[in-house]
Amino acid sequence: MGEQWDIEKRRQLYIWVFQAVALTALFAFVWFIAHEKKYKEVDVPQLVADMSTITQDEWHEEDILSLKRRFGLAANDFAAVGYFGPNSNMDAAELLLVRVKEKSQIDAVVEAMKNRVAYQCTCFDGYGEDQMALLKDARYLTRGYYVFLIISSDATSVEREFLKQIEP
Amino acid sequence: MVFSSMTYLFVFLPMVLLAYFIAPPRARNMVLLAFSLIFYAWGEPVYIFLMLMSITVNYVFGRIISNNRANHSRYAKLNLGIAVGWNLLALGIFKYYPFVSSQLRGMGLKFIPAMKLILPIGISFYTFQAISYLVDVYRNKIRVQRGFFKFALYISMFPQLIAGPIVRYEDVEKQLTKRKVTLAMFGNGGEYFLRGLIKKVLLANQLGALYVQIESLGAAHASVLTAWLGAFAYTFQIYFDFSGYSDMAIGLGKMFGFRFPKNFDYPYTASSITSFWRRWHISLSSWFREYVYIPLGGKRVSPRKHVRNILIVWMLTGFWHGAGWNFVLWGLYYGILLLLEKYVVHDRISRHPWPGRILTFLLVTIGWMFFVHTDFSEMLTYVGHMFGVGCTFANATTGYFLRTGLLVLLLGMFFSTPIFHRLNEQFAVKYYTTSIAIRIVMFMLCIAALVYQSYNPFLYFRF
Repeated sequence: MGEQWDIEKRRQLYIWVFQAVALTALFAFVWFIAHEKKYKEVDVPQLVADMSTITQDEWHEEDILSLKRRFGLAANDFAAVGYFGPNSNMDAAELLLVRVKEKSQIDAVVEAMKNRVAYQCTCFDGYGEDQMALLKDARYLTRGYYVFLIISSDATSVEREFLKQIEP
Repeated sequence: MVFSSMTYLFVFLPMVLLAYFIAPPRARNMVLLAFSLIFYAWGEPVYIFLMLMSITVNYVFGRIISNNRANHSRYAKLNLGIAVGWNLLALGIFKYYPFVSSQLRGMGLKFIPAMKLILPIGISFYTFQAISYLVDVYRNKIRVQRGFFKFALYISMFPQLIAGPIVRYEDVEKQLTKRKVTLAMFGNGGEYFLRGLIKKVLLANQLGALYVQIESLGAAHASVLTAWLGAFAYTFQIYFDFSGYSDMAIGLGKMFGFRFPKNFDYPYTASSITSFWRRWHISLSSWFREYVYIPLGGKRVSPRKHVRNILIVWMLTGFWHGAGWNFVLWGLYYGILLLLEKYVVHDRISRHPWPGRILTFLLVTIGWMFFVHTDFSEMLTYVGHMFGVGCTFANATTGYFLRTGLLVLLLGMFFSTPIFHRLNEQFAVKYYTTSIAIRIVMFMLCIAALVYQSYNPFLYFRF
């Protein structure tokens, strides 16, 4: 009888320990997620607008329909989007910054950006030497939840400014 | 990973099918489990730990509840409470904490820490599956699953992991141990999958593009008719998007020998709101009925309590869809409509099915505008436009959208009724070879559209 009682008590102790571990593990996981290295949350359209002033007269702000038409991306699917497009069909400079809602979106966004650059290359190939040079220097940056496409005559400065703004 | 992506269609799916069918029958659950975990970890690997934690916690609590329910029912009940509490806590932290904390901080309670957490994909679905399992074990409706990997497969099975249907354990209990895939079943599953892909890629995405265009119009271009066109576009988009996903999930299930329950039954042909909710997201409605509405007393209580029960259930249904006041409003909107049907209109609707169908469809369309607009001022502006507040009935922009969007809307209307399904079945019997050729062409069209569209998230992924 006493032995049975001991087994029962030990079983209940194990269960109690399990309950405590389950709860602790959940909170530990939440703590880990909350303290992961995170890039600063910036006002995306504003940041892109600021960066567009680094080189003057290369681009202008575009609406979400242009984003859909040129990249196949719907702005509503993402946390935030800022897009500056070329001034005319004869220009190639573009800035697109997307803050995705979840990291599984990153691949698709990068792919859409690469498709856009590839399409522009087919347009300018053979006669637009300057434009082709910009497109070949296109930069795709992925930091945390940010995905950034830079096609610019001064891509290095734009990239540096972007990283400066989002670094924690 | 999204079903309607090239990576899934041309890499993941062929690999999992190949691995599954060359594996010996005893190893097939492990193959499916491994691929399910890869599928889930794709793009956001860190949340796999939360899912593994959920699997372990629910598995162990299921065993504890089962071992104690006969002789120590109070102890079993206590453990059920703790287990359900754990699940709701996990869901609450990741899904609702950012919203609740921002509301409380907005009310001046600045000591509450603000945390920006990313919602783990599918958490609402797998948490509800786990809760239904625990409750059913406690109620002795099902036998506890003693195999850890079988239980892990039940929770994480990739076809329905991300956006349902919410599969009850009793529906797949036997299939987890023994299932058979015949060629006919596999083919039928493939057909379901293709149907879902067509719904998503060729219909939902086109309708979504139309809605985005209308929704982003400035006030200068707004008109009553344009606002209704946009609302109809979203109404059909969400149906084809979500039912498309469900069809793909059911189809994939069949390809691996599982029979998942139906999640949609032509909801836009419903002649009342009650009937609509028996046809829309059936697995969620039945979950709330079984685990919230009936335990609260259902309709076998005083009318006052019945009203309370309905409002609670619908508020929770709304809140389940997202952490935002618009979802609560959307849920309460349906709660009130259902109460009106039950206590004011009674069976007058069922005597006039056609006016009932039209009215139900219009009410559902208005409801989706509460659902889609998380910003209240945007919601009021849009719904205001639908009723002529601050705009004309039609303008030049309306003409443009009628010319460019009417066809896809009419197609949406046609394909959301059972007429096409019936015609398709008759056609397939009569012209078998042609129908196969048509399916191949449709698949090629989907692929062509996917190449162009780049990114295809399902709307219900965010819930």
